[in-house]
Parts: sequence; structure tokens; C-alpha cells
Amino acid sequence: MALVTGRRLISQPTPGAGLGGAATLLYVVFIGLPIGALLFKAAQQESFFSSLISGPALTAMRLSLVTSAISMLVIVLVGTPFAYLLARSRSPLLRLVDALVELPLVMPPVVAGVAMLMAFGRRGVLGAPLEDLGITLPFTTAAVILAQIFVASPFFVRSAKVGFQSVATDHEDISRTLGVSPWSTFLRVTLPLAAPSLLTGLALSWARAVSEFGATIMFAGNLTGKTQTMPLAIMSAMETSLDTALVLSVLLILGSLAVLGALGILARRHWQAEA
Amino acid sequence: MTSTVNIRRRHSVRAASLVSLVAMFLAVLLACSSSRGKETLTVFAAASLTQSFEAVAAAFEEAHPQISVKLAFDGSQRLRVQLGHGAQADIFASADERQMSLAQESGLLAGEAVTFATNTLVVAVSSQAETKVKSLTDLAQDDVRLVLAHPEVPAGRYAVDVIELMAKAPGFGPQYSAQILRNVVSHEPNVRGVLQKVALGEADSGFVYASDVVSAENISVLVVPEEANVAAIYPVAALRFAAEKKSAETFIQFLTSPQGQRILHSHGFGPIPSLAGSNSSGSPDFRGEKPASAYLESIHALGDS
Repeated sequence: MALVTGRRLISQPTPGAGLGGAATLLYVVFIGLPIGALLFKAAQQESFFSSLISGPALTAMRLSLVTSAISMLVIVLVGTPFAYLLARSRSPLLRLVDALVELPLVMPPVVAGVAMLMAFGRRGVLGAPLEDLGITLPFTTAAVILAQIFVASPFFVRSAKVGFQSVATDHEDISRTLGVSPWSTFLRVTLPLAAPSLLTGLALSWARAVSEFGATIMFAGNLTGKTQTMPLAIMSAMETSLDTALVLSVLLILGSLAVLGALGILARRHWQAEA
Repeated sequence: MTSTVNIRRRHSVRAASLVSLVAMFLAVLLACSSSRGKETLTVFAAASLTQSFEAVAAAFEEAHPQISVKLAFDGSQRLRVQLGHGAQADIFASADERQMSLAQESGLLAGEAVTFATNTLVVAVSSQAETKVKSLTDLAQDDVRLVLAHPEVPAGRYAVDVIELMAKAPGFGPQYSAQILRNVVSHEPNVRGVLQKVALGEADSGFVYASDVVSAENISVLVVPEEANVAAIYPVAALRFAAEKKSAETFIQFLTSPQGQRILHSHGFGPIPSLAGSNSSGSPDFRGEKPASAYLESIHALGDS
């Protein structure tokens, strides 16, 4: 009986099937065509591989990887306990904070950059006290990292919060009644159960950090080896030659695919371990 | 029987939904390329022309009420690349001859480019009290944060030329250019980005055009001596794929007319070189690379003859 129902579900024309198929086709063409065209045009370059491993490309790629890795470290270290608190607390003050977490998502990156300048710039709110400490942030690699954290952290916090909410407090309670300390419970019960959501959030957050452009050029400027990350290098290369820009774009896409793929595999392992 | 009906219905649903989606997609595309009532002239202009061209366009629209002017500003090099990739415009006004000749080589121009303005470089300094930069030699001090336009941007290329000319001039010394270039903290995508970073006080100084500082706030200006300055040449041309070729010509004539020139002068631009001399055949070939002194001398020489 169950089999029959299952069969019928597949063979019966569902009202959305045609629409779904058409939408899928449209979507795949719309998203796939530009990316495919980019790869195709870049592969046509005679100097494709030599440009790929050229100095400027690798400098920008290294800077992008290093800055985004540090951003992710900060986001995970601060974002995880923060998201856990958001998921568990019922305080109205935290509800307000919760609503503000998503604010950077709706801010245009340039606005985020201006906001960073107004806070941490030399004429910003914290500019004078920071300068007394001998710290100037604009036009430094640190500014690149701060800009990335600002725009990318909401993706991780949001996803992590949902992940923690999906972990039933019963599991934690049982663990604690068995005499496991709250810290161990968090690390050995809650964290592994929420791990897939955390990894998904990390992947989204990393993708946003690596593609960050607007806030970076406002707050950190554009200098090779210091603040010129891949998106800025692509913009600068566009001024001179489209060919170099194409190669850099492909490098960025391949690098991103590798990192996202690795995170995806990690997340799937966790799902399987749970099942 | 029922199965064929089913299949037929399924097909029709699929076809209908496909058609409707494609129709929606086309509708979006059509909505983007809106229809025009009044004649619209699209002008791609160098970022340094922002205020002056807004004023020129306003005066032009007053004189030609049937034409409405749409302005787009960015670094000349980027506009040129955009035009090369099919951006629709009627006129291209560049901040140097290099980008214009590259446009010419790509077959983008309808005819010859006409020079309509000149400009020089100055150093914009943040007018905050604690600024370290009081003179041009101070630019070589340690810890000065200098912002330039990207070397591919006309303003960035001119800036590097000026710095090298300054190093050769008396009082600066051969180390000067290396010391200055070490202080560069950012290469901005256009000259307005340079001005903005200095006006915000985030950078101590930056090389910009004389015309940029006419209406700028929160900055003071260091004048670059004539012997180390360059004459930036601004050429304009109608584009080959222009939709409004006649209006484009009218606009270019307006730019070089006394009224157009008056507006440009009030925004800090210099005169058209050939206007200084009376015979057009003997007009010298002014290049952006040429120091301003040579350019000014030749103007004086022409005026004397």
C-alpha cells in the first residue's frame, strides 16, 4: 500500500512540475551562462596558466586567503558563544540585539565602509583614542579584516543560532544529569549536533568575506600586497586589461569552489555521523 | 484514455508555464531598456569633470530644450573599457589623450577627437590642524599617508609624471620620488576617490586636478611649480554607435563655444591650447606628458607671434 502511494506520487502529474522544470531551466541558464562564459573566455587566453601563477595574482590571492582566514577565526570564536546565547536566552534585550545582527546584511557595502570610517577612521569616533595608542586602522591589512568581519559575520551568527535552536535542550539536560559539566556538554553534545549549521554558516560567511569589495575600498583602500584583495585586484586589472581580470576571476572562483567544497564535505560527514 | 489526457494536460501546463516565465523574463528586459520621449544624449565623462559637466549640461539643456543630457562619470580608463564592451553612449570625454587614442584604436569613435579643456595637478592636503604636510618637500617625510589614483587612471599617471619631474627639479633631490611613492597607501579607482579620502582626513594628502579643489571642502592646496607640472589634455569625441549623432556634435560644439569654455574656466579648467594661437595648421602637438612650463611657453610664443 505504501509502495503504491509512493509510486503514484511520482507518476502523477503534480501541478508544479511544469513550472518547476521551466524555472529550473531558466535559473540554470541565467546563473550558469555568465559563469560558463567567464571560464570559456578565460581558457581561451594563450597566457592563461602563466597569468594564473603570476606574481600579482598570487599576491592578491594570498592576501585574500590570509585575511579571510583571520576573519573566520574571529567570527567563529566570538560568533559561536554569541549565537548560543541568542538561541537559548529569552531576555528582551537580547531579542533586540538579535534583530540588529542582520543589519549589516541590508547595508550596501559602501555604506558599511563609510560606517567603519566614522567609527574607526582617523576622524572617527574612536579615531583619537586609537591614535593615542599608536593605532591607525584605515589603509591597513587590519582594516581589510575588520571590513570582512563586519559584513560577513551575520551569515555565521544567523546560521549558528538556528543550529543551536534545533538542538533540543533535553539532550543537554540528560548530559548534565549524568554528571557531565556544562562546558563538556556544550563541547560534546551541543556543538556536534549543531555542527552542520555552523559549517554552512561558516561557508556562507567565508564566501561573503572573500567577495567583499565596497567596504574594503572605502575603509582600507587599494594597495598591492597590503589591502588589495582579489576583488580589488580584479577591479584594478579591469582598468588595464580584461584578460588579466578574467584570469583573476577564474582563480577566485576555483579557490572559492575548493574551500566551499571542503566545508560541504565536512558538513555532510557530520550529518551522516548523526544519522 | 485518461493517461493521454493526463499527458496532454501535463504538456500544456508545462508549455504554458514555460511561455509565461519567458514572457516575464522578456518583460523585465524590455522594462530595463525604457522607451524615450525626449531625445536623450548620453555622455560618458572623466570623473574630474563631474561638477563642470553638470553645469555645462544644465546650460546646454537650457539652450536646447528638446535634448536631455544624461551624464555618467568614472575614471576615463573604465569608461573606455565599458564602451569597448558595448556600453551605449553618444559622447566620450576623457581626462587624457591615451584613453582617447585607445578608444580610437578600438574603432569606438565616430570622428576625430577635439580638445576642449586643459588641467594641471595640485596636491590636496587635509586641512586638519595636526597635518604634517606644509610643503611639497614634506610629502617625502615618513608617516605621511599619500593617496594617488591608480596608475592606469589619467590622474594617477599624471601624478607619477609630476613626482618624477619634481625629483629632477632643484630643491627636491633624486631620492624624492622614491620616498614619496613609499608613502602611497592606496590607489583609488578615480580621482574623486583621492579627493574624498583626503577630505575625510583619512589620508594626509593626494594628487588631484586643480579643477577638483575649486569647490572642495576640508582641504587646503599645495601648488605644484610649473616646471614640474603637467598639462592634462581633455579630448572629447562623438561615438561611432551613437544614437544621437547630430546632438552629439551640437554638444561638442557647445563645449568649445565661449559659453561652454566660460563654465569650464569657472570650474578651474585651463584654456584649449589651439585657441591661444591664431593659425591652426601650426598648432603644436600638446601631449599630457609635456611639462606645463613647456606648454605655457609655447602658448606665450604663439601669442607673441
